[in-house]
Amino acid sequence: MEKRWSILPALAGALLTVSSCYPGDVTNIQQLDVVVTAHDETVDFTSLSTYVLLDSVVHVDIEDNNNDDLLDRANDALILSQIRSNIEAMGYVEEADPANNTPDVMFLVGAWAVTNTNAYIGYPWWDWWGWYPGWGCCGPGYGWGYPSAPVVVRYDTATLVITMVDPNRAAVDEIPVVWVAGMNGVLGSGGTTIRITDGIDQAFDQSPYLRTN
Amino acid sequence: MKTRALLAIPLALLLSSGAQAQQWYGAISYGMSTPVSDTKDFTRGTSWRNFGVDLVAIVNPNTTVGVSFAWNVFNEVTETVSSIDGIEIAGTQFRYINSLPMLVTVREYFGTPGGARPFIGVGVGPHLVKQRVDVGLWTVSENTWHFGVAPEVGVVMPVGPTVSWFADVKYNYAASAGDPGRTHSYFTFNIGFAWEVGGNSF
Repeated sequence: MEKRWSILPALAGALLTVSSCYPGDVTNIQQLDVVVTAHDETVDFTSLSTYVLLDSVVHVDIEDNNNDDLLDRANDALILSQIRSNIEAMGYVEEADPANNTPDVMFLVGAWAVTNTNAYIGYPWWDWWGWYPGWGCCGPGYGWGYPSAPVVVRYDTATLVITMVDPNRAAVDEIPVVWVAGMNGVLGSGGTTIRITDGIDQAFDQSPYLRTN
Repeated sequence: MKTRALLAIPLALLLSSGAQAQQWYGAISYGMSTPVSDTKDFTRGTSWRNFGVDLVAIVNPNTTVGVSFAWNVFNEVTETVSSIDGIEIAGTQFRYINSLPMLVTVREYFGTPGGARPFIGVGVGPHLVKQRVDVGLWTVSENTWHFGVAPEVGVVMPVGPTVSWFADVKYNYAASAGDPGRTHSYFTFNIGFAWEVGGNSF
């Protein structure tokens, strides 16, 4: 009887050792990349046609950012080029004279790197994109009009955000965001051109409703 | 006589009305599981992480009652795009279900004492289901309690005066719970052994 019992704890221990509540490990860093998109379901995107893509990737200094360490300008041209390709693949036509013809939609591209901070949205957009002369709406007192409840997440790496706004539907103190995409992990020290282009492509691939035709 | 009690598979705790002079048996088991229904929708793969413990008492030569605890782990890695409250999320998803049924069991044995004995049984009781998704740096998890039933069939084979091996197939069904409501169900295929743990002093 003694012998029988003595083997049981060892066996139980062995069984528990080979098991785990949460088996499976991340095998490459790209498995941590996440692309999040949201859109305003009241918008008929087929009614939209022209666009402007602001020509800068804005590094947004939200609270507790780590931009200086994790962000650089090496891939800005690639980012903007890839976004432009996807926008036009959706059927949008670039407005050649936005100063006189307000486009149907505008795309704003921002990036930030934050450690241990809950953030997604809520920073003063005017501070970062107010320089653009072709708004035709909206001023410093405007806030974001997001289509969904704010997604509050913990970002520990650099994040690229594409915001699509409709300047023609700006309401009082609110600039309507009709689509937003956040790509977590594609920038920063682990970011590569493949991860950047894959992330941007994924954002548009999972948003087929953006098509104008 | 003792071997009959070994027919009881997983671990269990006896709770019999006439516990005075009964024989008690413990059992441990290991198995693989195949998810079905809602559980399969979430994690499709076969699970090799399943453990059970039982404690049972002999009520009569053909019947045992007891308690059974099990731990079943399902997981899957998928690239699915999920939509939650109008927000689409793409990324590698690490999905997990930890299912912990805690059942009161009754088993009926057939055949001749001392030889291989087929049995049927059923367990009823709560299932704690811990469901979790990891995407990037995010984790979404939910713990829910379900009422469940677990019919089973199996066979027990004595290998000594107080020890037996057994094998069984169990269907675990946990009724809908949570928001949104989800059921959990899966088959487990177990092997294990049982041994006498004591008499009426337990």
